[in-house]
Amino acid sequence: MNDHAAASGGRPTRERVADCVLAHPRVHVNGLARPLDLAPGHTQDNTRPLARAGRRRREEVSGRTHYFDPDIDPTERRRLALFRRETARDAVVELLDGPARPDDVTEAIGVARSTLEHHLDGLVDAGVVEKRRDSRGRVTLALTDPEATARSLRRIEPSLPDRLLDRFTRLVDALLE
Amino acid sequence: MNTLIHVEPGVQGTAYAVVVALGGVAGALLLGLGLAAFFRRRSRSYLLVALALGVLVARAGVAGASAVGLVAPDAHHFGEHVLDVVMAGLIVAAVYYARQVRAEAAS
Repeated sequence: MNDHAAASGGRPTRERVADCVLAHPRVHVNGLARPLDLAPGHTQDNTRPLARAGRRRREEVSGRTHYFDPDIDPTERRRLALFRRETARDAVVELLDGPARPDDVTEAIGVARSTLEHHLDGLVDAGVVEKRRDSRGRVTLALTDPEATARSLRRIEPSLPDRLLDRFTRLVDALLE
Repeated sequence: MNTLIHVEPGVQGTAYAVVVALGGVAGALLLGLGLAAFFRRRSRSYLLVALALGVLVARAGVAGASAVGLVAPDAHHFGEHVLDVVMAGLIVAAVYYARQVRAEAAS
């Protein structure tokens, strides 16, 4: 602890954690540990009081804890958490070109239908994507707010474990299809 | 006669230990990935795939136990073939339940 403080010009760890969160608007707690050279448990000890003091917001999305600058509104926080997932991001990028049928999206991004449906559950729930049905009940996928989506996508910096987990589920879905 | 099909610990002590350790670490990483995917999807197929990857860790465990003399060489050999059967069974079950889930969803 003293070593960390000395390395950063004697500033307390909590202050450095707070600065780091403000510099990176949306970060997973383990992602915070790396640039600060702290153990994840140590980072958590320092982030919880900050969350309580209202300087950053804790959010649970699909079983993971994410930390945000409190200036980011809840809708945006939800979007950013969803876009951490590579497949969700790919699907949304595909829809930036315009509304598309689910089968065309799965073909374009190379995933099983079950993989796409899993990610659509979250995206539709968060209001990022809407399912439009025509008179014959056929579904077309469309972004509800393409501009806001494009802005959120530019803020994403995915981590290696996130990518690995996403590709593993893609593989298993494709094998079990 | 059976020396070709099974390298005894001690014959190639270091190489054996390194291979077993690498297998154990790789298996543990895959098991972690499988479990993380299961906790995300919460489906029986994902649980079975994670358990099948866990068999890789069990294989390394059996090999390690045999190296330190906890498991006799014959039991080690037989145990690994039993684990092969377990892994194949888990994957077959994962494929089977994947189909069942889709059938339920379709009806």
